[in-house]
Amino acid sequence: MTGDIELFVDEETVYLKLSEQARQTLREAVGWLLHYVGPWPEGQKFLERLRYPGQRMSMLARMFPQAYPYGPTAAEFHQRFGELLRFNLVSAAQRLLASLDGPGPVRCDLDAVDEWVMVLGQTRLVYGPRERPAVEVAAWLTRVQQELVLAVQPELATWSFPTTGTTSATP
Amino acid sequence: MTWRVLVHNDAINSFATVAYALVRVLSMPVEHAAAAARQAYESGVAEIGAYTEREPAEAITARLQAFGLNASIEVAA
Repeated sequence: MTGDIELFVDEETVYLKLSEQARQTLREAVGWLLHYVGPWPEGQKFLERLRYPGQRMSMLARMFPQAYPYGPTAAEFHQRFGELLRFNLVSAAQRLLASLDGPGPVRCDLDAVDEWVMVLGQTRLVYGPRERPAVEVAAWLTRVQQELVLAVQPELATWSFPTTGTTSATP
Repeated sequence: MTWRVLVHNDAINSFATVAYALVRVLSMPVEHAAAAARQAYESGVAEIGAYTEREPAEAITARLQAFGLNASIEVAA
């Protein structure tokens, strides 16, 4: 399930060789992300996401967590950064999708790797702890994200990382 | 006042991803980033910076949140 992916590192560029199945998994998964956080009807503001049903609201709250526990500073943070964070995520997701359409491996410089790490992480949140296929996709997204991170920062592989707790694939 | 930027442990991000985000956002040495990620994992939260002004604390928090980290700010008098 979900497809093969190979990474090659050349100086400050990472090349992702993706099987067609991997490309399709990414298109579908990131497509779902855009479905939830993509362009909204004109005039709709970030805080209006609170009108969404409970499940979507919970997911968005995890994607864009409160910086402050409560009060006016929390609202001010959302006003200052909420829409920007959403816009940047949507833009990065759209670039990722566009990069899948070209022939050959996907070429990522460091900034593009950052965008992949961000988009893969947030896309994972779309897949809640539901039926098994969704969990498998979430786990696969986690694996791809991890391989990208270690391709850029191989030193992190030398640390003794916990194997439970922070490695769960589901929110 | 001091704005303390905190990263909370979560059940979503891998240890390496948290450390990677800290390296990229804060230009933190890998060993420091890994130590902070470990602290978040073991104690539930790690302070990754303290600022005397609100703006830089919020900008860094927003960048960490963009990586999917559960980052927040605690204001101390």
